[in-house]
Amino acid sequence: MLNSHEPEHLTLLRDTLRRFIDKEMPRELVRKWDREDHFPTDVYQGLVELGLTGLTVAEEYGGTGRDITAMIMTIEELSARSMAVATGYIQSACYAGLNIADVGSEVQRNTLLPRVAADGLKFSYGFSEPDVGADIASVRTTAVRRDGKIIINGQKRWCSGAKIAQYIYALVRSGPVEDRYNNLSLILVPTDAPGITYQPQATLGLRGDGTYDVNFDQVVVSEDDIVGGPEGWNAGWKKLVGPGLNVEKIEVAAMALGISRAAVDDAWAYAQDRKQFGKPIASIQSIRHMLADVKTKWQACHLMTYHAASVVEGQQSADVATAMAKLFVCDTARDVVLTCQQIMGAYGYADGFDMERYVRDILVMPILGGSSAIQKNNIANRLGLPR
Amino acid sequence: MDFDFSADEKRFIEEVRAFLREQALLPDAADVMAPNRDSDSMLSDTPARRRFNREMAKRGYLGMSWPKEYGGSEKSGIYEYLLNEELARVGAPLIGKGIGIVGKTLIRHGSDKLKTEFLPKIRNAEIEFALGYSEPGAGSDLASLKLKAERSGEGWLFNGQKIWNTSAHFADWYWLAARTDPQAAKHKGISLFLVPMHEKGITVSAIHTLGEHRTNHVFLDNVWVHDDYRVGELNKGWTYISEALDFERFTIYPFSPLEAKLEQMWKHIKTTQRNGQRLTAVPEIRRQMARLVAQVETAKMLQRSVIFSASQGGVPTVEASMCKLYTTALSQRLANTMMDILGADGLLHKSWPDAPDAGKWEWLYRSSALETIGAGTSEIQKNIIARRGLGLPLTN
Repeated sequence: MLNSHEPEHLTLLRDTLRRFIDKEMPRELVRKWDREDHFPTDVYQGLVELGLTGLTVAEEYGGTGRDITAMIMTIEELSARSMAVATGYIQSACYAGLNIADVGSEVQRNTLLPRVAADGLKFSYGFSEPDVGADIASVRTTAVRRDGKIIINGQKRWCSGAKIAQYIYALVRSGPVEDRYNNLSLILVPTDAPGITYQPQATLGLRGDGTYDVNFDQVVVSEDDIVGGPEGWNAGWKKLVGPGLNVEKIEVAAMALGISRAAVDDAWAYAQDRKQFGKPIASIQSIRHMLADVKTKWQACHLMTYHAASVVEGQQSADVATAMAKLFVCDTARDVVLTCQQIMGAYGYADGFDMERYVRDILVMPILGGSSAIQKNNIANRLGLPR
Repeated sequence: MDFDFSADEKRFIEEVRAFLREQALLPDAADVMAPNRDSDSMLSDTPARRRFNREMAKRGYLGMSWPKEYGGSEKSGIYEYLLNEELARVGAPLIGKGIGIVGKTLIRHGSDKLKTEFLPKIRNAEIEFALGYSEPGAGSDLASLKLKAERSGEGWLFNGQKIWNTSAHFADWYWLAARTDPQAAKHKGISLFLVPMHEKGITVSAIHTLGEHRTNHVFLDNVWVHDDYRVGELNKGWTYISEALDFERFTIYPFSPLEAKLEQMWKHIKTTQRNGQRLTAVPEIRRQMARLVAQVETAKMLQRSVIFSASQGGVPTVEASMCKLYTTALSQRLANTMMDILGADGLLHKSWPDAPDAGKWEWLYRSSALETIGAGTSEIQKNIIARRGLGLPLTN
């Protein structure tokens, strides 16, 4: 085991996950899901039955009690095999479980959290828009409150997993434009509500969950669907940038950690099988050094990710530790995967091997969940660097 | 070194550009010139591409460096390089392995029969070739190739397999390296053959790649070819393969696509605002672009040193390795930088209507992965530089 001080319950969890993955998620199937952009619902339900979506849900709501490190480990292990399954898991345990526990109303906690733990209820984030990326407070999708109803109009982009989710967790402008930061609300929009249309986007990687442009045309929900209940009206920004954001940063780091680990493992094995010039290429110094480098870099990524998770668990201020982990792990993991691809030569470029999928999946990690540039800003600002 | 092209070379560049401007007006131009996806037109077979190649032949652009007796114009190889630069700049198919590897090897070593049969067809763009070099167990270590050629009557019987044979699915003839003497040292038991691609016993199976280009796995099961189709002397194949690579080194890595991509990056950055700020005002983007501009200039100088050495009658093996090593990694850095700059939009595939620059950058990120692997990996280039350039002995 990488960490000799790992608590026993985490070692058990890792073993359970690896057994599950080997049995239910063989490589051949995973390649097929990627090729066909398919989300394997039955495999996902198996994870739910193991109680893994309950890792973010308190026992009183039917979960196993919040355990961020265990959740991160689950993401890492799943990502090392299939991003289709890993992202589905994140939509439930993180997007639904963590957010509702932190910023949902009492009613929402009572009704939704048990569904996260028992059924694997999933959210899809509806934050970005065609012209709104990093500056998320400028969203143009509007919500109007009328006779106890909320009417939503507008367009969202990059709604990953929207078609397999039960709700879009949508950030909308609910107040006047000039009340910046106090004019936003988070709304739970059922994905089957009348007036919603979906347009799938073709992307480089992360196949399986799909990502969509989601259009709201006079979509009607109730006041109870405002995150935090009716009092959550125009209080969306604080709910969005609360402590949940720290966890989200290390979720992405954990995905990058998993993908890069799979790449290192494949390159490590390939270098021992592949013979050129009469010997395994693992015995050629330039290849040995590449492998030593990727192992070392990966170990640094691992330490930073789990360190950040422990800071979050320790209830200390985790803004900087999580930003550093997000920045370092995602950028480094991308370098690691590209080096592993080089080791595998043309086989790293061809269909039928998993390396080309790792390459496609890793690229978005420095972009998702706050780009590397945003993390640099966060780090400099939070450390109080004067302008 | 102060390198500039001669007046005649400059006139030739203008002539090619005028030709390409004319071609760009034709209805099938989009199939021939794919500036957003360079090499697309190289690696797929379309009626437009064949028409374009025949037009090049009519203009006398195919075989410019060949001797006059074979229909060439005995020009310096620089003209072929210049032609390729202009073709690559607009994403049109480069003059290919027929004119280069196959044609030039036949001219130097082929029998009269092979010269008569193949050279006119090559020059008239009537024939397509696939190279059969790599095998599942012979990549960087190409000389360990195993595909067997055994004497059988007046010819040879082939058994074995080849991999990464781009264009094998539409080629007419196969330029095949086979093991003819299993007892000899590995470099001394290889011969070259020409085999009809549609011969009984040849199975071509597709390999799809990250860059969306098809390549192939080819299986040969008791394929028979007459000894007349052996190229040059028996067991001299390795020498011919290496020599052909030496002629080709300075024509196969054109620099213009890098320059064109850099220009397109600039254009995007200059015309795009994000969060109310011009991208040209973002300090990190300014830094990255400044660095890339300097590196593209470096690549240009490395490319020029290859041409200069060739123009002095040298074989620019080491210069070409340096150039390939540097420019292929630079091409990947360029793709990565642009993906960083575009953020999430950069991930959009060309099939999505809003994809920036028609999905060019997403595609470039995927396809540029091949550059440090194909045509001699970066590791092999470093070996060439160390061994032939620096004279460092191989110790293990």
